[in-house]
Amino acid sequence: MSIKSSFNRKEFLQASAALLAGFTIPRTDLSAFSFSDLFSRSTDAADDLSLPSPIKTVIFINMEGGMSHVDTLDPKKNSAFGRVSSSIRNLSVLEPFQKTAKHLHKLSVIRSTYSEDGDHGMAQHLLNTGYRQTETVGIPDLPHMGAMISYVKSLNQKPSSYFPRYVTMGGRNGKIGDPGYLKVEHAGFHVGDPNKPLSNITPSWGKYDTDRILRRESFLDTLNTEYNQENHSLNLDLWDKMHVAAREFRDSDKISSFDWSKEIFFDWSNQLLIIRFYAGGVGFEPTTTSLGGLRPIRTRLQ
Amino acid sequence: MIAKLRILLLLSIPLLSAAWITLSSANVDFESENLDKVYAKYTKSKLESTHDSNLLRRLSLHLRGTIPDGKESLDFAKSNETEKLRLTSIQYLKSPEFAEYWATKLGSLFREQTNRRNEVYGGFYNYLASSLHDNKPYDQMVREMLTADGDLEKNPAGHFFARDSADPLQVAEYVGRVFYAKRVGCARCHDDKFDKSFTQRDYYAIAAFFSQQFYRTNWWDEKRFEGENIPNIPNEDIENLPLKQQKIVKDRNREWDQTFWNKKSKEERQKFTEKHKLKYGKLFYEANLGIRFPIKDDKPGGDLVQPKFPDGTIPEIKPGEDRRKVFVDWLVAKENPRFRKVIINRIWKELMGWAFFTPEDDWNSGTVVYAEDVLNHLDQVFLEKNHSIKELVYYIVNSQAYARRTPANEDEKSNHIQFFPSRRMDPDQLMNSIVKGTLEVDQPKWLFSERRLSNFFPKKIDLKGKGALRVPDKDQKDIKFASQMERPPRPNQFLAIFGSGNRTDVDDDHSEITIDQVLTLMNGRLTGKAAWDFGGKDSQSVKNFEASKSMSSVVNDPFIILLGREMKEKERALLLSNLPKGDGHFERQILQDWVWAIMNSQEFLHVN
Repeated sequence: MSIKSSFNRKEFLQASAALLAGFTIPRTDLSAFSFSDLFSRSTDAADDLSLPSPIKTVIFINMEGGMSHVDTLDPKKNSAFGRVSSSIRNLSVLEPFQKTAKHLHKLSVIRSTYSEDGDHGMAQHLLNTGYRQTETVGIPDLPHMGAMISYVKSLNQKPSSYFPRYVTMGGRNGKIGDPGYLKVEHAGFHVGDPNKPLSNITPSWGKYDTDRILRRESFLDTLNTEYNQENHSLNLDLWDKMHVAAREFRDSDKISSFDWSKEIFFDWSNQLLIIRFYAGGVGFEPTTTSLGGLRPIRTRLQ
Repeated sequence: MIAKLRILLLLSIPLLSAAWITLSSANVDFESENLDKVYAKYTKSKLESTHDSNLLRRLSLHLRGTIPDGKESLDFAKSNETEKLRLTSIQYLKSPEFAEYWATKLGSLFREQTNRRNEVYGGFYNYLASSLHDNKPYDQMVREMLTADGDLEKNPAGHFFARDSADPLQVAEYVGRVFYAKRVGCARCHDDKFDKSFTQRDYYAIAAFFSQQFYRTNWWDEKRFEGENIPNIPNEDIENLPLKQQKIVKDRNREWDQTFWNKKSKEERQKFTEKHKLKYGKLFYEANLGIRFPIKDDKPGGDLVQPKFPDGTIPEIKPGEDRRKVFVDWLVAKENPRFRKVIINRIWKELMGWAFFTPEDDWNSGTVVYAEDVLNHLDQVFLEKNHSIKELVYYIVNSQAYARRTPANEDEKSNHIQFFPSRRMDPDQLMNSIVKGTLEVDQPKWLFSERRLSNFFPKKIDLKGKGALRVPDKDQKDIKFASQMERPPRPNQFLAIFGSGNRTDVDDDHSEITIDQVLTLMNGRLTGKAAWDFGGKDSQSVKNFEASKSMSSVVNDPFIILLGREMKEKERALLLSNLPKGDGHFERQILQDWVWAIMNSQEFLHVN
């Protein structure tokens, strides 16, 4: 994956630091701190976060357990394998990746990821949110990986009704689809069953015409309006917004792009995944990746 | 004369009863008041309570994993009985539902999985649920699990070790996290580079407590060296014997092979293994076993590690003594409050919506502990109550702190100590409530199953459960309660969509709110069928209409059952405006749509 943009890593870190400047967690009242307040005050810094690149798609495969970096792309003294030179001068990888080494100029390998937590759960938190779990205790609204990419890719887009900018697949053990303080528009859509990505867009039981669906939703709106006047819990707000987004998603004219029956070929026996995904009339070239029996999480940008 | 005496006697019964109640109440120590006194240190103003019907709903969801029965909420709200919360909480704690629901919580903590090879189907869950139902002290439960031996069928506590095939290194990691909130996993491969006080050898020293056991499946000849002073252990464990003993055991094993095994034909071997076949996995204890410290990856064969407790102290262990018992004695000792506080923290978070510290399995030198005086107070109570989870729950839910109201405005919503934070029902609560709430309407015997409150408050509370537990059935047919579902659920199942985890890691359930969940409630099969089947022929709704000739009365029922309250005026007005033929004409579709709306409403979906 190659990222050609004016927004480099150093600038990203600077922007992130600016966002976090002056941030303190109120420890005394145990309040669930919301980043959204901070974000709304930092629009200048947020505007610097942009990704004006030709990138259309990001596929993020989150491997919970897998090959050791010590024996693959990050040579260390205690590796069992020898080094091989790559297509980038002064950069070597380990022997099992000798074929990959020839194409390394097309890839970015991040070797500076560092953690003080020798723990899978904590590592997942760090990898998918960018924050150490121990340092974000009491902050329930950190956005996950897909939401962050969605955010920087859509900064210059006009607000529109909700349509998922990315989908997630696989187990939900990791931190993989929560928009956190980035708001519901950056929530991903989770595909539980790859062979049937959308199973609850229309009522699965009984027959309902449009008028009836609208009627029952008017009942629901009345119930919620009444109740929201007496209870202002944080989770109620979030559910409310998620409900609005779900309706917009259901009613979107782009929803046919989730009809994967003709667009995607899954062959789990060969652990091969071929995706040809159309969204909003924009076609994407087929992408092939080996899942290797691991937990896949694909993040796709519109 | 006799008639007068009878009348006098009858008249005196209520008076005597009232006196008895007063006396017995006076004798009851209102311990939860002490919790409120400590809790008050952390609140900005006096706590206000939520209304009674909501409190009952909260209590039922927390204690039984489902909404209250039928009109129970209304009756509870109307009752003037001063002890009604205490009586109801006792009733709930004794019910099978408490054990079923909280066993799924413990199951998630211990990574329980229903259907595992060589284990009893649902055996671990049954053990946890039965232990809770019997009000078994938590320390006893932990002791049973950490000292388990033998066949899993006869000793289901052994499923705790079976989960990791009794591998001492695996066990050390999970025991550290689950019972002591100490994440030691990083030191499994190397000294902790940041916490210098904890080394790889320390990790092995914890594992050493669990190194005198091995786990066998398929077959095992327990009497192979009967009468001899030779440890009968698997070949792969011989290296974990003292060096002097290794050669003796290896030689004896070789001899056994040459004189016995190698002389048998294929058929004889099959017959032999069949004779010693194990129906389920079995745990064996062998005092001579230990764990050898790997000096280097390429030079195995280090010394046998001496056990050391997670707090760094070194135990005095007599030769041949079961180290697991030494470890448990230390773990559950009165002088080790950390063991108790770790489980108290989890229970408190479930009931109160905030935790003293997070993550719950990692309490390190940098951890900030909130409201520590409350935690210390609860520790004392838990100790006094003989480690009874039920007693602890009872103590917490009868406090004013538990009964605090939800935030009424924007300024209040972040203060969880002062105001109860609504939380989306967990998957079990949601499934149980939808099924139960909608079944009741069509089944009259459930609809009006009011539970009358006893006027007599017992002096001594016995929280031992009554009634049969509903546990997973291998056929997985006719499931009506979440406790009957296999764990982990399949990815497309209702429970998985709403956060029931894979049970691959400690407490890996998630509480995210997702688009998928909203759509599942809007259009999924569970809510879809529940709404669609409402108001059918012979249903309670139809009977109600025949009696009342009023749709308002009919639609009022699902409000009572699912929300624990009557319809509000605005809701009634909306109903009437959608009845073209008026209130006196039965409109099944309208009823179905209200049921759907209630099941999708904020009020229903959250524990408030």
